[in-house]
Amino acid sequence: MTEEFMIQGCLDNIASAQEALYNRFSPRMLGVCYRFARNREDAEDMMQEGFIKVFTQIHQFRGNGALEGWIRRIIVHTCINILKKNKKFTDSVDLFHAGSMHLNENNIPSILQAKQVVECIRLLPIGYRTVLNLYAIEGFSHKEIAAILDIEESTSRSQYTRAKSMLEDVLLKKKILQQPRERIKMVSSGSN
Amino acid sequence: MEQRFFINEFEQSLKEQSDQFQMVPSKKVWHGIYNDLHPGRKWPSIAMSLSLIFTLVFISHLNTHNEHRTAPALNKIAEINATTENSNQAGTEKNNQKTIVRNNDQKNNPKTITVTKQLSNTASPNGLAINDNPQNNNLLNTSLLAVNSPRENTLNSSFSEKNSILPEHQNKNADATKITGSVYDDRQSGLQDYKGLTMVVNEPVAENVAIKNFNDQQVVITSADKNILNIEPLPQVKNINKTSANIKSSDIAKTSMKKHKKRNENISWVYYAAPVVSSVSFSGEALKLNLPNSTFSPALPLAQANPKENKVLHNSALGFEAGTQMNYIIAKKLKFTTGLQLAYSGYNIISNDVHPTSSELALRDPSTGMVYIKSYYTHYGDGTGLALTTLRNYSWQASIPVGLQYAFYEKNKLQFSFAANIEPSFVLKANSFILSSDGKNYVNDPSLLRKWNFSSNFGTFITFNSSKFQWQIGPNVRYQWLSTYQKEYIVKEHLIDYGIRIGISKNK
Repeated sequence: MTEEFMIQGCLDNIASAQEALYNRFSPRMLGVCYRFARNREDAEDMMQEGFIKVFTQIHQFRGNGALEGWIRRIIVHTCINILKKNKKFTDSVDLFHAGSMHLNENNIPSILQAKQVVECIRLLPIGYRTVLNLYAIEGFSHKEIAAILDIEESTSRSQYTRAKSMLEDVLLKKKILQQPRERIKMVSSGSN
Repeated sequence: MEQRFFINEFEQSLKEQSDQFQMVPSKKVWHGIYNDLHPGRKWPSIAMSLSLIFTLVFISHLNTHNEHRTAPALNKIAEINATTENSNQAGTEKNNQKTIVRNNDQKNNPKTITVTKQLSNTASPNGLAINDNPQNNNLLNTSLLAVNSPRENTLNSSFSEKNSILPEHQNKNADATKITGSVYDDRQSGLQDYKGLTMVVNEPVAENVAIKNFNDQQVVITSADKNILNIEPLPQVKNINKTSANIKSSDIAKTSMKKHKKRNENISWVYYAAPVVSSVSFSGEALKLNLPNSTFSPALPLAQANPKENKVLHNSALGFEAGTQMNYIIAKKLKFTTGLQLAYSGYNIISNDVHPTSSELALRDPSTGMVYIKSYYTHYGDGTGLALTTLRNYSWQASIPVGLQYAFYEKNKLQFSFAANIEPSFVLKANSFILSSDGKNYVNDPSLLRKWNFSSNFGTFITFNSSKFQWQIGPNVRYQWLSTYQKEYIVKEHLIDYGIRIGISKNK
């Protein structure tokens, strides 16, 4: 089923078209939700709510960009709204508290590298994780993040710096980010 | 610069890795979305639930029918001994007294039984009166009443056989009794409006006359002369005082119980369970796809013959049936059966774990006949790989079997019977793994499952009578006539259950 056909079917509220669209994008979107959520169940709840918004607001999709990007944006905003609604985000945004948290990286399953990276991200405190997800992966600017999360832009920057540092440590311990560091060293030694 | 470069590398790497990450959501997510987007589709489930509840209530009502029917009689029927006193008082309270009028004017008027409500406490407080004054024929408040014979206490025995209710113009019998109200007619199970008709009494009917008022009272009068409908004139009015009545409701109740017991003797309840071995048969040719890399374009032919034989590698699995069955005797050896049944059946598919991959299923739109493709993510292979795993296709079905049971041989305490029934059933829960059109993977799509189905059950069994219970045991086969899947999926799947049914019912 082509994308245009699916969109038209969704506009006509045809279940088979909606299901086809869901089947095509749900695995990736669940991966997105999983990075924001506390566990898989929460991620599925987020995705369910997000897809309902997708299907009810699909008439707003103008076709200017990729459908996946449009869906992803809705899903991400849904995740943030749910976190804010449940106060899970605001409760954990305290920098001091987040910085002193112990990361138990031994819990990371070593199955696939992508999964390892995601699991490492999920080890971060939820405030750090959210900013990191939005900035580094979803491509939001700090200004946008500040508006979305109702925080100061400077807070977003500092949280991201700390989150990145924390994640870097974990990734290095798991030897996932060896190459970039070595390259950096090489680059820096070369410049000197 | 170093820091900036690192950030870019870090973010880029992080983004790439994160974007590759995918998870297969559970089925309930789509169900939740679907139910939210299409709330109207819930109605079949709700309707089925309501019908099941209604059926249960109805069966409960049938079970307790006896008590329900006799209770009003116990509560409302008062048997009142007629006493002969104050004959004139009752007759004067024409419109206000609850009075039974006995007309002894045989020549010109048929006997009339009527009742008027008594308001005068002084005359006969809360009582009934039998009045033989012919002037009281025109009493207004004439709601009547039931007549019970003392022998059978039912209208359909002595009353209906020996007496009859005829239109007034047909009544040539001098012993006729004009009915000016309604008669509680057990043949019709309730009050019948026989007003204006005439009850012909060919033989003395009653010692007990049950009288039911339309308002809320039902009384039985025991006449002293054992024939309240007798045409012989009585010299006085019998005032019947309710408060001093000797209540003998037990006779009425016993009679009623006896009658309904007869009806219930034809009904028996069997509770049964049957461990079954479930198997499956497939029919119809799947729409096969022979397209490279599982990518489809509308320009490409969608349905093509695939040289590879795609077969579902499956094993039988255990299931069960359980339920309750009502048997109703319609002939000496023949019983009508119905009830409620819950069945669990299914089979195992041999599959193997694969890396999550996209897979397609070719389906056909039943209305247009057009073939279309549905995509799925799955991590189940066709069972030819190394990491074998077992998938379970199952269904929970609630059904209402309706059928017949015939006892073809009977000796001593043993009875050999044959039973067959049809079972409209509702699929409560099911799991469906379907072989993809390229035959390489199994995909799970509950939306293709049929919600309603239709099965048949055939079996023979031996019934053994013990002192308290009847035991049944015997083989039975259940075949699902309609495919498990909707018409979009061309392959027809029919579940077959082979089981040993064990039943128990209580001896009466």
